[in-house]
This record gives sequence, structure tokens and C-alpha cells, in this order.
Amino acid sequence: MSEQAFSGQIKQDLIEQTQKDDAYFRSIIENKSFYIIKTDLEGRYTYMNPFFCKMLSLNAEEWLGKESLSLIMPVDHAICAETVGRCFADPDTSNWVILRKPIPGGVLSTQWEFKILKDENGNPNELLCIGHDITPLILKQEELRSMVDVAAEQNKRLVNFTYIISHNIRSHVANIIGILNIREDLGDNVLALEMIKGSTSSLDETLNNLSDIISIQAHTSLPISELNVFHEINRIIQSINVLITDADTSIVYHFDPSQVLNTNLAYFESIVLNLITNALKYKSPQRSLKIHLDLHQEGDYKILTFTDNGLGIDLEKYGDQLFGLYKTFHKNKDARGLGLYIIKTQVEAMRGKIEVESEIDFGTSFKIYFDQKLN
Amino acid sequence: MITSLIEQGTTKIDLMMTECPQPVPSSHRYIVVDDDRVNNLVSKFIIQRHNKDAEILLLTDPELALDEIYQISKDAADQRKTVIFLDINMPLMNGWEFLEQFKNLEMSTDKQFCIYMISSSIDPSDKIRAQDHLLISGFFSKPLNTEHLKIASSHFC
Repeated sequence: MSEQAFSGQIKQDLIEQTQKDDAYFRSIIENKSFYIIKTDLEGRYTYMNPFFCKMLSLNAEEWLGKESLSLIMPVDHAICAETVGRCFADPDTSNWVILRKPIPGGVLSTQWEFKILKDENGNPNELLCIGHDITPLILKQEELRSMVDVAAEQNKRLVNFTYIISHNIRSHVANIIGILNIREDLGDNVLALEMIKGSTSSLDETLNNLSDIISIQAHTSLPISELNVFHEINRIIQSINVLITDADTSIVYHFDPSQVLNTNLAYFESIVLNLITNALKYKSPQRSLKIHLDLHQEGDYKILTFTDNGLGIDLEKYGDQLFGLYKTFHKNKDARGLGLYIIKTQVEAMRGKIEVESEIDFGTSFKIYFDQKLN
Repeated sequence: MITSLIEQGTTKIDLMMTECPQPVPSSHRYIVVDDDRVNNLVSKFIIQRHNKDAEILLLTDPELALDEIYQISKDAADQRKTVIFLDINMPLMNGWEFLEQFKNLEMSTDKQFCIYMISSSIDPSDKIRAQDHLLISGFFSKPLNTEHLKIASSHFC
């Protein structure tokens, strides 16, 4: 083989090798899992691989030379700049960062490795960034975190509930033990038995109440239906008509009788009934009771407002206990401290909320939020 | 048999107490502040069993109890020791709120009052709060019994 032919062969081999390498590196760069981009020292795009362009729905030609920060959510600008800073501080080391990117219809969570590229003189001239999508991972993480939050909240409520239960059960049991302890000193077995009987039926009532409450909290899927608010409230009022006529009460509706509400009928009944009987219990002796009912929509919620002109309550003093179990605030013998707790539990079971405003000797206003996206 | 054993035990404690220079149990006054009437009756008999000559006031209304305590504190001639058994869970004014008001009574001789919390609560936070409270001498689980009374009266030695 002549020298010329030999060098031609080498050249041919080199070309082939280069083509092979080229295909090899191209296959890496054009992969379907990793984003590969490069920027200049000012952070302007100098290269974007096809996968990156595809995932962010953008055209490489349009974007080359533009600010890479504009494809990063503003909240992550600082951490991105900090990571670049660390790369410049030590150009031979890679640094990792998680950046969120806006895409049509949402946000992409991406994890990146940043590394400085140098020119032939060893001076930094470009930043190489290799990244991948971790959105499903982040979503899973958020889901898990919210599940942990729910579990923690439930646990807290459970502990709290246990103390309440144990206190209310124990108070009756303590009485029974106490009566048995003093029976001899009392010298009256009939009286002792009467008192034990009283404590036992109170205990029974407490247990029944608690089982009602637990069954509300345990309900995960509630039947939801559309009901006519005016008709339903009217029907509930008819059922306690005697109470209302006796108390010289008037009820004023401030909404259209055709208005409807998506909710659970049984809970709605319980909520309205409890609020009306509360208003009756705590009416002012100075004036006849007037109840104003209003219904309006705010976002996903329909809000039923229930305003009376009764005794009112000192919210500064009792506000944080108002919806507590077995809390009573007036010297009223009928008060059992159950109604508002049950209402709150039922409202929350339907993903709603309840708010209260009150002024002493002027009246009280309850706002109940019904989630209309509930199904 | 069991009763006589308990009585012997009581006697022992009483003997120990006679070594204390001051206490004359009959001069003690007991105030029970609790909205639960059955519990008050139980407390009354238990206190009487411990000290049959004690003066006992059973009050279901904390406001009235504060008035009563204030009147007692104003009477300079009356230097009797008073044990207060205070319930935690009461409507309108709970035991903690009662203590706040008690603190503000401006009494010159607050040392003659000795307050014990009584509750059927098993919430550890109530017990800890009682232990940490400057005005509270102790926390008793309901129902009140003679052991509690012994502890309460030994405090006056």
C-alpha cells in the first residue's frame, strides 16, 4: 500500500469513526429522558436539546440567545442564581438544583445538574445543564404530605376527643363511686339509689351523644342532593311550630324562594333545627324573637346566614370554646353543650365551615358555608 | 373488719398530726366550688367523715363563691384555715378563670386559703397546669376521698 493510499485509509477511518462518534453523541443528546441545555456566562441559551424543546413546547431558534431565567418560575430565580454562583466558585464541580418551569396548563418540576464548560485556555465559557422531569415525584410527595397532615389533624382530634369523652364519662362514674362511698354516712339507701339512677342515665345519655358524634365523623361518603332551601327550612319550622308560636317568633327570609343548595339533607335539617332551637333558648326576654335568613354565593360556596336578636354571647371570652363539646355559656338549664359541636362536625364533614359574630344583648349571626362542588 | 383497719390507719395519721403544734381540725372550713350537685353532696359527706365539726360551704356558682371568699377574708377576727376544693370544668367560669379572679380579690390574708383542684378530667395538661399554678396546692381526681382530705389538712401543719 502506497503512503498516499495509507494516509487515505487513515482519513477514511477517521471520518467513519467521527461519524460513529457523532451518531453516538447525537443519540445521547437526542434522548427522550434528559434535558440538555447550554447557556453563555450571562445565562442566555446557546443550546437546547430536542427533548427540552418538546417538553416546554418551544422552538429552539426563537429561544437561542434569550434569558434562561425567563423559563424558570420567579420563586426559583434566587436558588438558580445561587447554584450558578457555586459553579463559578468551583468550576470543576457540578451542582444540583430543583427548578420549577411554567408550561401550558401547569408547572413542571425539574432537577438539574449544572457544570461549567471551559475553552481551550481553561477559562469558563459556557454552562452545561442536564436535567430531568421530577413532577410525578413531587406530586406524590405533596400528596403524601397532605395525607400526613390529615392523619396528624385526625390524631390530634382523636386525642382531644378521648380526653373529652373520658372526662364526661368519668364525671358520671366518679359520682357513682362517690355515692357508693358515702352510702353509709348518708343512711338513706333509697336516696343513694335515686342518685345512682340519675348518674347512670346521664352516663347512658353521654354515651349515646358520643356515638352520634363518632358516626358523623366516620361518614366518608355522604349522599348529596339538591334541595330547595326555602321549602326545607319551612318544613323544619313546621315540625317545631309549637315552640315557635309559644315564643312569639318571626322568621324573615331574605332570599329568593327558588334558591337551591347541594348538601346532605339530614345534616342540613340538623343544622337548621339546632340553630333555630338555639335562637329560641337564648332569646332575649326584653323583645320577641326575630330570625333573619339569608343565602348567597361566594365562589364555590353557598352561604346561609342565620341572624337572631337574642341574648348574644361574649365572643372575646368564649369564642374559642363556643363550638366545643359540653361547653355551655348561659345559666340555662336546657343547655347541654352539644348542639354547636354537632353542627360544626356536620358542616366540616361536608367540607364547609361555620363562622359566628355576636354582640351581647343585640344578637348572634351564624354563617354556614356549603361547598357546592361536593358530590 | 376492713372498716376497722381503715379506722386504725386513720388513727395513726391523726396521732401523727397531733404532733404538729397548731392544727385544731374543728376550726377548719371547707368550700367546695363545683356545678355538679351530686359531687358536692359526696364531698360534703367525705369531709364530714374526716372532720365532723368542719364548716362546709357547697357552692355551685363560682361568682357567689368568690363573693363568699372575699367576705371571709375581710373578717379580721376570722383567722380559720379554709380549704377550697375547686372544680375545673364549670360553665360560665371554669376553675382557671376562677383562680384569675381569686388572685385579683386583694386579700390581705390570702395565706388562710388553700386551694385544691378537683376534676374528673384525665387530661394530663390539666394536671400539669395545676402542678405549675402558684395558687394550687394539689390536684385530686374525683370523687373526693378521705385520703385527699388527709393530704389537704396535713398541708396546714
